[in-house]
Parts: sequence; C-alpha cells; structure tokens
Amino acid sequence: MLTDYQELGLNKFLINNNSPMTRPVVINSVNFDSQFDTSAVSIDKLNKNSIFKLSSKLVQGTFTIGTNTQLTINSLTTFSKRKEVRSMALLSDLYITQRDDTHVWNSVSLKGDIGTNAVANTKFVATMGQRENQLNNNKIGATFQITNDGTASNDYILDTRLSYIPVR
Amino acid sequence: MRKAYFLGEKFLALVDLPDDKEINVSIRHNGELVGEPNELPVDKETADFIKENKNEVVLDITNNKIIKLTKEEKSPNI
Repeated sequence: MLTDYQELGLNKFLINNNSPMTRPVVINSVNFDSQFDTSAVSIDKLNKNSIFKLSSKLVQGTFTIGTNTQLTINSLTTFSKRKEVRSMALLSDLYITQRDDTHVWNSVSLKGDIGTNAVANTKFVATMGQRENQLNNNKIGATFQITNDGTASNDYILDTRLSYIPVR
Repeated sequence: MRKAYFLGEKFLALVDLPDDKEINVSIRHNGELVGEPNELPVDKETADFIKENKNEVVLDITNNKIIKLTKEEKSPNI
C-alpha cells in the first residue's frame, strides 16, 4: 500500500514529490487473512486430499494376574503393508473382571461394578515409545503395565486403539 | 499367544494376546523382578480352567502340568 504524508503537510520536505516516501503498512488483525486466525481453522478449510489419514490398530488382550504381581507387556506392531507410519495416540480401556460398561477401571463413570479393593489396588500404565519407530519406520512399540496389589487374583481385559498416520 | 506364568510352582499370571505381534512379557512379584518365570503355553481349555480356578492352581514342575490344589493345599499367598 503506497501512501504519502500530504495529510500531515510533510510532503514539501520530500526530496522528490513525485515519488513520495512510503511508510509501512499498519498491520492489525483486519489485515490477517482469516485462515490464520485459530478460531477460523475448521474441517472445511482443510484440504482433505493433501493431509494424511489417521488410522488405528486394535490391541486386545486378557490377563489373569495373581496377588502382588505386576505384568509388563512390551508389544511391537509391524505394519507390513506400510513403509512408514507415525504414531499418534494410544487410547486404552482396562476392564476388571468382565468386559462391559460397568467394569472400566480407567474411567469416572463406568466402573460401577468393580469391587472397591480391585479399583484401589490396580495400577495401569499404557504408553507408546518413539525410538523404535525412528529406527524402523513401519513399527510402533507400545508398553502396557498392569499391577495387582490386591489380596485376590483378578481378570483384566485390555482394549486399546493405537492410532497412527500412514505416511507412505 | 496364550501362556501361563509361574514362579516355581506358584501361579502368577495368564496372558492371552493376539499372535500377530512381537510380545515381551516381564513380571514382578512382591516388587521383585521374576527373572525366568516358568512359562507354559496353554490351550483354551486350560486357560479357561485357570480363569475359573486361579486361586487353586499350581504348576507341577516335574511334569510341566497345571494341577488343581485341594482346599488344604491352597496357598494363602496366591
């Protein structure tokens, strides 16, 4: 945007009145294209053909664990039809005793029928690593650790969704 | 993959996971890492038996078989 200083009465001080000085455009929020406004980022603005699709892979297992016992499961998933994947989120549900919506340990409202001792004496960790995927682009490693610190054996059912981006 | 893990003859855990993954299982009992637990592949029938009688099973180490304890033999620590 070209402008001059006529309104300030300063143009007479310019060396060449035919090529008035320019002053920088004042940048304010109106000058930004709305696509850079975070509130304007929506599904409609995404080019769905150019972004990677998020996929997921299910990991399910059942475990019967004795008292005072901690089970650690290191799992490595190989994507044979993909050369490169990138891990995203690991969503995990741990059911105790049986698999239904009143036995989800890591929930607020869905653990109604789990015994108090089982709830209090269970520890659960689920995490994905990054190094294995860096070294082998079509592999994703995940670790699950279930601890039964209670006074009785328990049945645990693990239902996880490993989400990833298929890069190529 | 369906395996039962024992510390000596004492039942620790039954693991049932899909076969299409590389799995490494490690176990701690009373806070101590169980270096080489007795690991026994089990069929579905045996796995169901363990689930039903998990407080009353031990491993017959000599014959590598899972046996059910009587009430008198039942270990209080399992």
